[in-house]
Parts: sequence; structure tokens; C-alpha cells
Amino acid sequence: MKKRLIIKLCASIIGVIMLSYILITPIGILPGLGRILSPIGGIWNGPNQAEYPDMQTISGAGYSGTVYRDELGIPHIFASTYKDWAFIMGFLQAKDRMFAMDMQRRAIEGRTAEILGPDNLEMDKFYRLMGFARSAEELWDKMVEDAPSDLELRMTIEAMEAYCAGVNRYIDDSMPNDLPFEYILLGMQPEYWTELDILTFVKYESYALGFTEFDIEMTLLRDKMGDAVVRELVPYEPFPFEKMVVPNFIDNTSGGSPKMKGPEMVTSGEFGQSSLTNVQELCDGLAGIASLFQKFDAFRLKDQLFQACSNNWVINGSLSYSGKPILCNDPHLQLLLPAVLWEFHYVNTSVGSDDALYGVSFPGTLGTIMGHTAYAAWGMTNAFCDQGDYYFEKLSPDGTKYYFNNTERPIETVTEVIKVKGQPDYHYTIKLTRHNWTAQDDFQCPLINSTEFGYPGNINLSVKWAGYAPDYGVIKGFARLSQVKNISDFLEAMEVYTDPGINYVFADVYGNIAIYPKGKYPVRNVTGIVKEGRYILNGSNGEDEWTGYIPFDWIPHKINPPNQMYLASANQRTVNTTEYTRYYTSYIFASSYRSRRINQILENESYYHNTFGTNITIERMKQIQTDYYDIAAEIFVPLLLEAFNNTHPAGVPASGETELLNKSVEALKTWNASNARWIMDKDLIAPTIFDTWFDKYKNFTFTDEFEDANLTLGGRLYYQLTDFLENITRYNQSSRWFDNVSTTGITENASNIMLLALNETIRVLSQNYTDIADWIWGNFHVMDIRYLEGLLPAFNYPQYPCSGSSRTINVAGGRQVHGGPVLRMIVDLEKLSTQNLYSGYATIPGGQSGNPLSSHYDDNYQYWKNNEYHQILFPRNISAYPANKKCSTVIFS
Amino acid sequence: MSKVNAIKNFFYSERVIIGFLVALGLAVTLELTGVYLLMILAGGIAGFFVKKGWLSFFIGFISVALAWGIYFIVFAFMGPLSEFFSLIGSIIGISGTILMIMSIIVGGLLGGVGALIGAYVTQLILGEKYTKNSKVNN
Repeated sequence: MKKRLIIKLCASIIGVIMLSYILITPIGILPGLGRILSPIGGIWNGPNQAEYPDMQTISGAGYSGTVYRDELGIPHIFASTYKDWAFIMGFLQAKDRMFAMDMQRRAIEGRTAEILGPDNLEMDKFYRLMGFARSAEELWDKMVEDAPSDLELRMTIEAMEAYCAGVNRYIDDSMPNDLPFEYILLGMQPEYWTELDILTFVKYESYALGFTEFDIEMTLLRDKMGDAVVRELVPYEPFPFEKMVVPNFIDNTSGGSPKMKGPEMVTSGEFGQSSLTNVQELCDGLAGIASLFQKFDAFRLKDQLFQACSNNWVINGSLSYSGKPILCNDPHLQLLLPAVLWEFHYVNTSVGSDDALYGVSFPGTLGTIMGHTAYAAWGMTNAFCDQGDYYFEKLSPDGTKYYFNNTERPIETVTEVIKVKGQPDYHYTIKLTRHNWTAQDDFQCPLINSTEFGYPGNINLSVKWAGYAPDYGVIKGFARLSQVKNISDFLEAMEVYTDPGINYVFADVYGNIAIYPKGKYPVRNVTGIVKEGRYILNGSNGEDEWTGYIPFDWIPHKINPPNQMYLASANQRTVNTTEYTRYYTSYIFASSYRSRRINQILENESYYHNTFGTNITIERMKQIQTDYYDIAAEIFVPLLLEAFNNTHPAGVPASGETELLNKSVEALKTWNASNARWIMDKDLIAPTIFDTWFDKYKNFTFTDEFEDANLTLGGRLYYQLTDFLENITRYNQSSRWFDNVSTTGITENASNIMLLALNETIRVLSQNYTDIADWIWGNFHVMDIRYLEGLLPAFNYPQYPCSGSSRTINVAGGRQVHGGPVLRMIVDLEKLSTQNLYSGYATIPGGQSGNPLSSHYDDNYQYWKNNEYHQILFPRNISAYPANKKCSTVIFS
Repeated sequence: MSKVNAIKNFFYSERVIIGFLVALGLAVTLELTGVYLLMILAGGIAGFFVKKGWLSFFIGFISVALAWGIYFIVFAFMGPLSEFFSLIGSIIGISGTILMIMSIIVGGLLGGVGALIGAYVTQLILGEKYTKNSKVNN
């Protein structure tokens, strides 16, 4: 009997072992079934942690303060020191966004293969090669080295340490069973947050915003079609219809802008070019490297930037309803979930302090990117300043040396270990060069070899980007902006701020307004002639190196313009380059449509003000920020209709496709005659016809020449050609670009191509829907906001038909819209001046919480989606905080 | 003895009730650690009291399954469980309700196999006679 019992016992033990094995064994990237299903520490954490507790106490951390979350979950932080504030920021951001912060950190540090497997190895290699983490490490070393003699820097470091302590306190409190359920699903655990993580993210964002990437396309284009064609298509000088960021540059030598105190330069607008001219044999490799960049996230983010970009503007007290300025900003980035930005409000409660701050930051960092203090507000758009170059490197035959200024130098190497899930570690050796003509540029430039990533040509290009410099100006700049009280403070912040290149707008309660496109603008002037950064540069002969940066006083900017009641930017050309001739800033900018629409509205409002005495209200600002008017439609549709009427004065015979043609033309005419003229409304048919036609018109105009030259440049360059297309359509309809090079015996003009594009439009649209009534814009144009770029599709917001286009102020580029305003902010300086409880309006496309089950995952998004806003709650002290807004309280003691 | 009495004997057995309650309490408490394999231990305790092989399995299963079920009832009051069900269903491809039932079954199985081991170990140590005399006669 005992023997039978032992057999049963053994069988039971085997059963337990088998069951445990089944439950422990990971399923793909998921952890074991047991971990997923366990009530505690499993995926069920999702619903349990969805809402903020009414009251929570975080004690023993050595930092104190009180936090009230309002009905949107936005934290209002009351703390007496900057370190307390930083700790609380870290804790709250982690509480709201820990998993997203962690995934983002892994992506930009090149550590995704560790959790997602070998498929991600190539992406990790790319990010390791670009070296954001490596560069952050150098910056951190520099900060620590300089801190003893720099109080401001020391305080910044202390704040960063406190921030990390806050994040890590959250991690400690959550381990192992209270982690966000995404961690459980993917079988991950968070690692402690460090100062290097903050700096790596700063470097990455700086790169994504500040490294203009068309140099390879420009070089390929020049090689096939010549420099004159490049300059014709993408001129350095503005088109006649453009509106600059810094207006009326030349007649504004008073009022402090520009001060014209910089050194005399040899140039007068005739900029030199790269000394690398014959690149024909390099083209395969160059195209390969361009593809490499296009493949990975940083570049995809740039694609979104070029399609979307940002808007900001400020009006002075004369134009405003109140006599005080109003500042508006809607930065455009990828529309991701959880929301890219995180809102907060902070009050310094120490005795005698009146410091207060409302703003948004990127979770994982401490900086306040946009916002306002108790006295002043600032906003930003990308300035597109040309802060990066590619150098073609000539290597020694054994590949261990490169030539710099015609002298041999050893290639530096660093080997990084990339962990790969389910595989042995990958040891990746990265090659680096230096292009340190001056001491301030003594930093490593990653060397990209085309064949290493599977592209032909065996081309070696070094990436030189101003952001690689161990320069803490960006951190100091943001720290100063978050304490700005007046125009002097703003200018001091601008002076220390380095990169990325940003168009800052500013307003204070004293009535000042300003715009400052600030960044590090490299000067390439070895030969005595300032060179453009348009093409791939020669890395070996020393002629194309950087000799410094445009001095601060010489960067175009505008303060309180005497002839204009507003200042505005939408990533357009910085300054009229026919007037600003001493320095080169950049050759490529966003197309001009959004900036022209903003200027059109504000010019009209200025006219109404001067003529009828009207002023701009906050409600009007909301209308402008959510405007769907498409200037391109205003320009092109009448020209298209004119071409149609000239060719078919009596319309076309009504049968089959031609019936659709007549109806389409009728739809465009009706649009023109309606109240919704040129509005890219999701419920209208005409926007679909126009947007599709515009795309076809661009393609039909340029593709034949490019194909004839055997040039494949992709959609990004087509986007850049929009302004040129407008210029020739309006002013030179017989331009050779309209002639189809594949046809013989006929020379096409703009009208021919416009009508050809219209026919093609109808053909394409009728393939989707045979009934023109179904061609409403919303059937073709949908908002698609995804959770961490589609990592967990169930967490995406449902798609919905949306208005707008890549050319409208309320931007929505592409057919599936993935980029757009990640914040809409309107700051009323009158409200700040009178210490009102509310300082303006804002909204973000998401919510505070990253938990898809939280009511705060999409509550702010509902405002954003409907073009509505929440009020910015801005009490100046804790006793002024309204009792009915205390939806959740956290006490730090 | 009739079948009805046999069932009565089983459910009214002190050992069974004690085993069930102790295992239930232990399962609730040990689950708080998040180490779900400790449910084997909770089941083992049930087996120690019940001592009969398959009855032990049943009691171990019920105790832990109920313990996990209690957690889900609490969760339903704490957060948006139904939303979570549909969300998780679209991620894993299994409906949330089925996932919860799976979860309860997994907990029960851990308790059950733990109880089997507990029962057989007890029988080995204390002898089978002791186990056979554990019926309640009325």
C-alpha cells in the first residue's frame, strides 16, 4: 500500500512541476501564463491602478510638498524648493507614464532587441551609431566638471538628481506587484532612472528637431540635374509670396534687433558650395544611407515634422481685446499615445516667492518646453536652422585612418554590447571621426558605412551635428525660461540657449512681444567665403569645416516691431535672405502655407483694428488655432477652374467618366462660391478632389524630369517643391517643368498638366467610390492616433474622419493622420496681469494618464478632438486653489 | 451509507471545513505577495487537513479558486473591470470573462495539485488508517 502511496505522491509532484513549468514558460514576448493571470502582480493591475486615489501620502523621501490633481488629472504642485518640485515632477510623471518613458528610453538608447528580440537589432544598431546616449554621457561629464564654479549649473544638476529620485521612488513603491500592467504583459521590469536618461532624451529630441536632413537628396539632385536646377527648385532666396519669421529685417535696426555688433564677414549673400563636386560614383551609397535614415524612428519623426511642423504667434496689446498681449502656440509632433506632452502647474510656496509656472514637458525629462510664469509666456516652433552636415570621408586603404585637412588621422572606435532576447550578446564596433576645426567642435562624429547596413557603394559618411557638442545651453536655457519674468530675462535665456533651432515667441505682462529663432547656426568659412550646408561636404581637404557659429547678436530676431502688431512663425523661412546676407542660416524650411494663413488673418485683423477699432479676443484666437482654411486651395483652384473653362467653355459631354469630371468641376465651383470656401471640411467633396489633384499635379509636373534623370527622391522632396510649383503656376505657366519630357511634338504648359491631373484624380477617386457623393473628405482623411507607434493596437484611439490638411493651421497631413498639434495653448497676459485664477486655455491630444483604462487617458483628448479647450487653472498660492478642484491629493513629507 | 449521507459526511466533516477555510485564508494572504506559485502551499495545507486524495484536490481547488474569485469581486469595485475585459480581449484574442475564468481555473489547479501532495505526504507520515477513520458518522 505504501508503495502505491509513494507512486501517487510522485505523480502529484510531477503534476505540480509540469503545471508550474507551463505557467512559468514565456509565450513569445509575453511572460508565462501564471504571471499574466495572477490576480496580484498580473495584468489585473490595469483596472486597479486606473484612477488616482483620493488621498495618497509619500513619506520618508526627504522631499515635501502638496499636489492637487484637478478634474483632468493635471497636477498642481505646491512646494517650497526647486528640488522638492523636481522630485514631485519625477514621481508624478512616472506614476502617469512610466511604461511609455521606459520604452522611449530603450528605443533611443538602442536597447529594444533586449526585450523585443533580434528583429529590432538593426534599429538598435542605428541608434547606437547615432550615439545619443554616448553624447549624453559626454555632456554629463562636462556638467559635473563645470558645476563647482557654476551655481546655476549646480542647481540644475541637483534638480535632475531630485527628479530621478522621484521616478525611482515610484519604481521602488511599485515593485514587484504594483507595476503598470504593460510591464506584466511584456514580462519587463523598469530600471532606475538616471541623469543620463534625461540627457539622452534631450539629445534625441534636439536631433529630431534640429538636424535638417535634405543634404543627401540635394547632392543627388545636383549630381543628376546640376546646381542651377537645385537652386531653381529650392532657392535660398524667398518666393514673392512668402512671409518671414523675422519680418522687415532691414528696416528694423532700432529697438534692439538686430544689434549688428558681430564681426565683419567677407560675404554678401554669394555663398560658397561644398568642395566635393563630382559624386557620381557615390550615388548608390548615398541613396542607401538616405534609405537607412528614412527607415528608423528619428527620421520618421522628421517626416512628420516636415508634413506637420508647428505654429506660434503673439499679438501686442494694441491688437488685443484687453490691452495686454495674447500668446498662442500649437507645436506639431507625432500624435502618440500616451500623449507626447504632460501638463503641470507649480507654485513655489517659500516665503516671499511669487514664482509660479504652468507648462508642458516631455515625460522622462524635467524641462518646461512651453508655458508661462506669473509674468510672461513663451512658445516654440522648429526654426529649421541647418545644424548638421554629412562629410564624405576618404579613408586609408586599410580603413583604419581618415584624412582631415589632408592629414591622416586614426579612426576612433567604440564597441557597444547590445543584448538580444533569446540570442547571444551582439558586440557592435562603431567608428568615429572628428571635424574639430575649432576647439568648440571637438566631439565625435559617427561614421556610417553604406555596406554595413546592406546598401551598395561602400560609402563612408560622417555625421556632424551641432547637438553632439557637450554643451549644456539647452538645459540652462529651459531652466531660465521657466523663471522668465520680463523681456530681459527672455533675452538672457535666449543667449544661453543652444539647440535645437527654435523660433521662440514671447510676451510679458508689461506689453512686450518678441520672436527669436535661436539655435547654433554653424558658419562654414575656412576659405574666406561662407559656405552653405546644402550638399554633402568634403571631409578630407579641410575646406568645408565649421569655423564657429553665428554670434548671438547677429541671429535675426524681432522685439516689439514698430510696424506690426503681431509676430508669427510656422517653420517658414527665417528671414528675407536678400536682406540678411552676412550669414547663412538654412536652405530648407516648411512650405509657406500655414505661415501665410496666419499672417493673412492677423494682417486682416490689424486692418480691421486700424479701420474699425476692433480687437482680437480669446475666442477669435481659438478660431484661428483650429482654422481649416487651405491657402493652397485659394491659389490653385481658381487657376484650375480657369484652365478647365478655357479648354472646355461649354463643359464636357456628359457620359461615363466625363460626367464625373463635370460634377467634380461643379463641386469645386460650388466650394468657391460657398461660405466654406477653401475650408478642408471633412463633410465636403471638394477638399478630396483638390487634395488628390494637388498631389497628382505635383507628380505630373516633376516626376517625368526626375525619372528622365534616373533620380528617385521620394515624397519628402516633393513636399518641399510645393512653393516652387506655386511660383511657376502663378508666374510662369510655360515653365519647362510643365513639359512632359516623354512626349514628342507637343510642349505641355501648366493648363495641360492641371487638366491631366484632374482626369487622373477622377480616375483614382472613382476607383474608391463610383458615386461622387461618397467622395467626402472624411472618407479619405482619418485621424489615427496610436499607442506607442502601434505597439499594442488595442490601446489606440478609434480612427475618425477629420478635417484639415498639411497646409491648414489646424494641421492634419496625409490621409491617415499621425502627426499634428500635441498641444494647443493660448495664454492671456491680461489674466496673468490681474492674477486671475485662470491664465488661458490649453488642450493636448490625450490625457495625463498613460493607463488606457483610466478616465484620464483620453479626457483631454475629447476637448482636442472637438477643437475645444480646458481652462488653465493657475492659482498663485495653495490657499487660492479651489476646493471643488481637489479631485486627488498627494502629500509628500 | 446512502449517497446523500456520504455527501453530508464530506461537507460537514470538520477536517474538510477547517482545511477549506485555512486554505482559503492562506490563498488570499499568500496571493498578496504576488508569488502565485505559493497557491501550491495553500492547497497543500488543505490536503493536510482533508487527507483523502481526490477530495483533497477538490477542496484545494475550490479554496484557491474562491480566493482568486474574491480578488476579482474586489477588483470589480476598484476599477473599470468590464472595460479591461474588452481591452485585454482585443490584445490576447480571448474574451476578458474567459480570461478571468481561466485565471480562476489556474489558481484552482495550483491549489488542487498542492492539496494532492499535501494529502499524500500526510498519509505517508501519519499512515492511511488514520485517514480512513476520518469519516464522520451520524
